Amino acid sequence: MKKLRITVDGKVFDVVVETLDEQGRPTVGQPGVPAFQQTSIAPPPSSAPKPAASAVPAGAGAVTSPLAGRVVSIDCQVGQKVASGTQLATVEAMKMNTFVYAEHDGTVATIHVAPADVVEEGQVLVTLS
Amino acid sequence: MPIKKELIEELEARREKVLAGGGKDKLEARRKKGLMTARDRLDNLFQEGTFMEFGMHAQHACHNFGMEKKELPADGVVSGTGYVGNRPVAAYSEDFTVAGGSLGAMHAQKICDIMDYAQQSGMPVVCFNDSGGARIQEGVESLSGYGKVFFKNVYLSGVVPQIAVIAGPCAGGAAYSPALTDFQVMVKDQANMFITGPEVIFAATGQKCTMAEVGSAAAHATISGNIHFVADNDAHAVAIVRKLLSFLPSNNIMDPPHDLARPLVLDDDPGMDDLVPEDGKNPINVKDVIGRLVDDADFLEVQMDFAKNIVVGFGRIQGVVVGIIANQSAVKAGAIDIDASDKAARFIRFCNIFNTPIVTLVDTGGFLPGVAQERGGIIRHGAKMLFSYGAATVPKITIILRKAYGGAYLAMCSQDLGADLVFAWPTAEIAVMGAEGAVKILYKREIEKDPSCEAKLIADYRAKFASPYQAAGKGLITDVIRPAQTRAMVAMALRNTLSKRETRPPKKHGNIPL
Repeated sequence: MKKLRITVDGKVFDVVVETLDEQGRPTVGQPGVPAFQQTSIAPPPSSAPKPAASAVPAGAGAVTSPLAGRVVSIDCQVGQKVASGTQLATVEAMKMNTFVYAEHDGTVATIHVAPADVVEEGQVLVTLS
Repeated sequence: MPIKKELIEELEARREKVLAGGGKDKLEARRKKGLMTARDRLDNLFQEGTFMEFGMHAQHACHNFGMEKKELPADGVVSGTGYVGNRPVAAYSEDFTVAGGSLGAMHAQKICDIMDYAQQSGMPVVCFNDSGGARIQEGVESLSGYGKVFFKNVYLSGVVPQIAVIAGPCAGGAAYSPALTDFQVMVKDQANMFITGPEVIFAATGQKCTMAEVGSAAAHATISGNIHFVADNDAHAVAIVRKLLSFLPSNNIMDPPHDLARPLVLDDDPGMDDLVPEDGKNPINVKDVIGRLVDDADFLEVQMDFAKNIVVGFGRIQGVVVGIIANQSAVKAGAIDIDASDKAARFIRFCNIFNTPIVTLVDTGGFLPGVAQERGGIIRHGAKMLFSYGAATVPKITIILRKAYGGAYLAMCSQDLGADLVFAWPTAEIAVMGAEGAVKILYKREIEKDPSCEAKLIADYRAKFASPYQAAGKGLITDVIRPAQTRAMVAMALRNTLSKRETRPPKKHGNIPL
């Protein structure tokens, strides 16, 4: 969609121009037209035993570090109710902060690490109940 | 005298029989289950009335196991050409209602014939795989048929785009035909693909597993990286194919469908400035950057659920079709690992084959450290990225958003690897390594004597080297630009570089470290 201003004999007209496909429908990707929908999918559960990366076994409610690094901050408190997507901790690795989020709603039951701790990939940082 | 009525009637009768595939009841049963038939898939792919069928009356020549009495309409595969987006495309679609879509000699010949035609005419090939596998009654002829199809896949590779839709079972050797194409779309829930399934795995190794684990769209989209797109159903799969084709040229001597009639707009985009966090350590969702860079935020992401630390896909920048490769600092800090290297390298090579300019967005602290990475061959896999970029002769435009360290800086299409133009944001940090590591090496003795000086040394090093100006001073980048200028500058750079022609010494092919 494009806005154009046309002047005819000193009269100004503001017009909106839209490109249509061969069936006369607005082409995909134009504002106001739903964007092309792609499907995202989650990995299937694995029956292979997970390697024990840390002292705390990964179980239900375990929130793990996505990569090896150093804990910058714990961004939640024990007993805090969190919604899916809440930031729980910050891990620094590769000169970048990685935020770790809750994958589902819950209450922070245990915090297993403290700032400045070095953590491995897959290590449990926080357990939600 | 007009043509004899009986001849027309015979033709119509024969056509009707073939169109019914394995029987009208079977076709209806599929539709009731929410599945498309082989012909439905082609009808949905092509613009109405443009389908031209090849080999409708083909028949098998098998006389074993009572096969001589069986008629298999179209020998279980519907093939032909039609129009997609007003351009001709070849396609074949396996018919599961005819002998389970099994592949025999004639079935294979029909596939090879349509592929030959597509290659000679320079049109993409789309296939719908929905087959129980080899037609056992035809014995080794069936096996040979697979071999011939694989050979054609290889023969056409790099000449015309090939897109495979895995719409049903795709087991054993059959899985290698889609694997040899450029893009694989898999329909979730109704399709599976594997070399050995759970039963054979258990019989051979004693390992227990589920089909979801080894053969589902979810497994291949997220873990194995075998497929490029997940479709919700047949209609969605067809929509993905059409969308993908809208970015691709018909063959390797044509340009992709650019829209160059569109006037160049060189206005700033202040929204891009707003995306950059004040703290350089905090991640940027690079998909937001891409969304502002491409026209109408229309970006077709390839392998969106695999190696999410790198983002690849197609878009248009002020009309010019581009392939975008971008570090995703919001996942694994944007570090490049084995899977990310493989994903990017394959995509870069596709763009190069099909004359698609490459735009690279750099924001990575480096290659991912770790025992598993080193033992898994990150050297060999990371080298694929270097090789692909170095070998690509299409226009290559690089934008260094923030972090560009060490080998990963080079691997993300640096000027030294042949980028035509390199832009850097003022937030760029182009350095051989991070300040902490560098200071430990440069001032080892000083720090041993007086550890308190380390923090100041790090700050000094960062101030001096964690910027774009060292690299700019050495002529390694074209210009430092505000994020808001990015879309305009890249659009202009693309238009200016579009007529680039680079010729290299003739050879069969380079030896990419596979």
